[in-house]
Amino acid sequence: MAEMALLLLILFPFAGAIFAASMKVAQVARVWTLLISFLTFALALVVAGGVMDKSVVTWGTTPGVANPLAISDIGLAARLSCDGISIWLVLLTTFIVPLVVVSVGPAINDRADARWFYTWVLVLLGSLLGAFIAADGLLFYFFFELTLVPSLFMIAIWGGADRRAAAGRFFIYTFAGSIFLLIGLIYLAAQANSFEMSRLIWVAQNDITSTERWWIGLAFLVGFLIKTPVFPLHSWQPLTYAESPSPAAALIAALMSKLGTYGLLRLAIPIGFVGPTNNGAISQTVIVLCLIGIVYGGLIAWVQKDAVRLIAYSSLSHLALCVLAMFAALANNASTTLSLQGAVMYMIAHGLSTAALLLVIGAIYARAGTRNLTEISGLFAKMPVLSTLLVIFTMASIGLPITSGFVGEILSLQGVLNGLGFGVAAIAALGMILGAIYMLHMVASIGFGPLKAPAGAVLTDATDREMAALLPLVAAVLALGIMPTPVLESFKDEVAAIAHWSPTVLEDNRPQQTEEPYWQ
Amino acid sequence: MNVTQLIIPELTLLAAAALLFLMGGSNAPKTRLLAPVVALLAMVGALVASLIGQRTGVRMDDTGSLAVTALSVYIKSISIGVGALFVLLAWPTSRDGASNRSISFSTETSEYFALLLLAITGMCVVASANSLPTLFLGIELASIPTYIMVTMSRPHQQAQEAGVKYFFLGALSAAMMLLGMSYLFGVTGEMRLDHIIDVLRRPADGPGIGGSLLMLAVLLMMMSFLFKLAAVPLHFYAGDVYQGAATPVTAAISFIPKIAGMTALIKLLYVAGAGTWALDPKLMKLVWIIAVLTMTVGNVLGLLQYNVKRVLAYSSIAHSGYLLVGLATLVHVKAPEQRGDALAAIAFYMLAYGVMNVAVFGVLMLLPAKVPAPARTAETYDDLAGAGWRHPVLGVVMALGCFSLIGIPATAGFFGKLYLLKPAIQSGNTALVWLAVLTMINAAISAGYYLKIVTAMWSKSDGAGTEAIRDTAHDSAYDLGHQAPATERSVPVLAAIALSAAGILAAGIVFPLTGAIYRAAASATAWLADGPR
Repeated sequence: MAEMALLLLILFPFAGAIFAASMKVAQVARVWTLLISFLTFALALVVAGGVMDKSVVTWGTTPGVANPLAISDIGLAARLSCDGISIWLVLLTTFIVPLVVVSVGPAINDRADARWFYTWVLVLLGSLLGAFIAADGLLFYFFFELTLVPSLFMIAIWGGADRRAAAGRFFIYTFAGSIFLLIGLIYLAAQANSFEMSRLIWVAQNDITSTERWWIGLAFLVGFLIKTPVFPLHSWQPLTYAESPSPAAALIAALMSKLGTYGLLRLAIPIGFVGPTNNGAISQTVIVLCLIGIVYGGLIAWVQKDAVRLIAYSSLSHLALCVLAMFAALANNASTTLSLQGAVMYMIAHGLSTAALLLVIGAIYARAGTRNLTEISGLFAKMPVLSTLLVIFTMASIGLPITSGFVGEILSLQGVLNGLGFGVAAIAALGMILGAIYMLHMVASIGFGPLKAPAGAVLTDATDREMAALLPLVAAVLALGIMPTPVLESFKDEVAAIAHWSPTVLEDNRPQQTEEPYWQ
Repeated sequence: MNVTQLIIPELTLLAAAALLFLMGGSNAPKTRLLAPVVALLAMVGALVASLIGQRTGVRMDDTGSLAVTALSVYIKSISIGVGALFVLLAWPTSRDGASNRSISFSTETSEYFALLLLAITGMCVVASANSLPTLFLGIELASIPTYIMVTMSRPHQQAQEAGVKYFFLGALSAAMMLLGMSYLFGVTGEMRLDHIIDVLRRPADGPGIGGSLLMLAVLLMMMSFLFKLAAVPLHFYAGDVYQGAATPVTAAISFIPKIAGMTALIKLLYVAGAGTWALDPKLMKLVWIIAVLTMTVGNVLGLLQYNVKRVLAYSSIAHSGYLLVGLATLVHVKAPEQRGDALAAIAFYMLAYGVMNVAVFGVLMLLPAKVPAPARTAETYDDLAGAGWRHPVLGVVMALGCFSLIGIPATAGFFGKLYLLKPAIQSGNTALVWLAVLTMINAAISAGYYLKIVTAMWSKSDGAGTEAIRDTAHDSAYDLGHQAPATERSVPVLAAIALSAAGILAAGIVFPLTGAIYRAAASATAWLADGPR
């Protein structure tokens, strides 16, 4: 049951997208998309049940049974698997997408072409889920790249004034990054006789020379660091966020950026950076880049006038901490698990709070016609509910206790402290302080002070539609902040396995001559 | 074996071409409307004949000038199959059978289809040619009709200019080929390709036979074939010719000469390597360099164009580059299995490329131009602006075609690139791994102009609602006064577009199907990889 649900998790959104594209009435397409995305969430819950039951749900990986969806000549097969880490990203995705659909406002919904927007949302949903549950490296790449297509259309069609340039830059920049990922994958698969992730990792850790591992590690790293993004590979990000329509910005910032961090955790780190030949120089470079990113992102965010650009740079700073925690985990075996748990938790928390913040800013933008911090202020008087929500999500973003952000941030920092020492942790903590400064600066200028808004702005408070989209996010943010332990426990073993380097334990994964050879 | 048994597909096409030339004598609209039907039936007949006639091993006629192999059958099948799509693209849809949206036959409808059939016959001859004269005849038979097709496709100066330019440069390349062939004959004393291989393999003469003269012969012939591929630095005609011809003709000339040239090139290098691919390292380097140059120059110049047909001309140059990447891999790798992979990848890519091109050009010829002169159908980015909203199906197909040409997943083009890169990276040869990196970088560069096409089609002017755009577009489409009245239906073109879009998507999503096509390509080329038969 859970196995079938895993396959349906991918097929469902794509099938739904085809129907959504043929629905002439925007409202019908919207309801349809909501239905499909809720059903996908239900499927994700079924899979989650399976994961709780037997810790990993797989489809099409049974040895000896031919995979019906495979290209044996190239070693690609639709192998799916969902473990304690994947399931949280699947849940995050299926949780946020319906809420984003709910939040889609009249700016898109009243246009004659709204059905196409919903179509692309469903395509994006399907590709994201495909990437998160792929157990086959090439299948992962397949969906990883496919996410570019719906995002391209969402930005290029419904974006701001500079949308086509933004869409093009976003697409080409991230596409160029993943080139190296593909080449690394093929190179590794040539040695592994398969694209199956566990084999790729085994081969990378055991069967290739350290020079090869250096190049492959670098190739994987670049692709994922661009997607995340990490300084200095972030220059597509502010423009993309600023020019995207706010639902698309929420999807890209909250979910697509997780493809980068998830890929790092799932592929790049075990393949290139675990164990004795661990490419220490590259790791250290990444650590330095992350530190620069944390401070640089924070400082640049501080001076932003555009609230969405501010959030873009805050993401740059926050996700740098997430990546830093991952690499800190490699430096000290004692705190590895803790640190990686923190990184995964941080991914979930960042997804929730960023999506929520962008939706709130989008709602304010729809009313005031501007997101410029110098042009609006004192909105609390006119829209107390929306401003309160803004404050709550800001707290979640800067990691106040009892919010989800706190758990991820404190565990990540703990990991950095244990792994890389006090100096590095101090700089990382500086990012937290900066985060508090710029986020509170934003809230203060939007929510408080004398009332100021462009002429003609209709400053009504949150509508039912917006409340329906945002309240579940509040609940999720608080729930994860108050009761993080079950969540952290659910992926403890998986993160421990990622950083664990021991050829004998992984001997089971040694590429064997199967009955059906993957490579001719 | 009797020669007629071997060339039944070619004879079918020739007979139909002859019939069409005769039909051209009649000036009745009915005859003109019948011409594409005849052409299509001939294609189907030839395809069936070619597939039925498939046997294992090599079949040769008594003089040895033709050798039908698995590769010949594969090349014939894809060229006839894609050729049938070209018939659909050029299908006359006006009531008098003298034109469709993009192409103006005037009274020469039947002649056009006869020429198309002749060009495809030429490809088939190249596919099974086993002697130098037959190879020459095949290449020329595939090329000469295309010069005429370019010229007659539109009553415009640009088309005349393009045709003349294409003809003169084509004639020059034919001269190069003949010169090369005469040297090859002089060095080896043989006309038949298999005999030339025997001579080159004869131990008494040693592997160094002919030395620089052999090299000269190979280079001259290579140059001529590379001209057919529009490989850099022999690409200069492509932009003007592609722009000048009517869109359905552009589609045809971006496929027919390329496939003929690529097939001939594979044969030439097979022969020059004495059937074992033991080529001079200088030659290997040359292929590598030309592959990189062709991709890069094609893609970079593609970025600079404003006319979409020119963009696609440079894109087709870049795709020749990708085919040459396969060729470079083929000549560099040492293991026969990897050679087999490279050959199969080239064969797969030829088919994928043909189908993607039909989709893109098919959409282009159905969209109206904003300014009626010189072209009635869309040529520039401006013509495409917002077209996706007015014709969502065409917009989706164009996006699909462009994504496939970039090599985005879920399309045939993705697997085409993957198959090309696999043997290159797998070989572990540094030069080839770099070639793979450069190929992918080129894919990223090409995304620049393909995305421009896609975003232009789905763009909107600010503030204008869809409805407003729709109205003005209808006006502009029908104010042109061209012969495409509102009632004109382009069903055959739509069928070609639908078929190619379905093919692109199916090969990108239905994994077992992709595998099956690849295996067909692999089994067709396997015998070439193993060395001497």
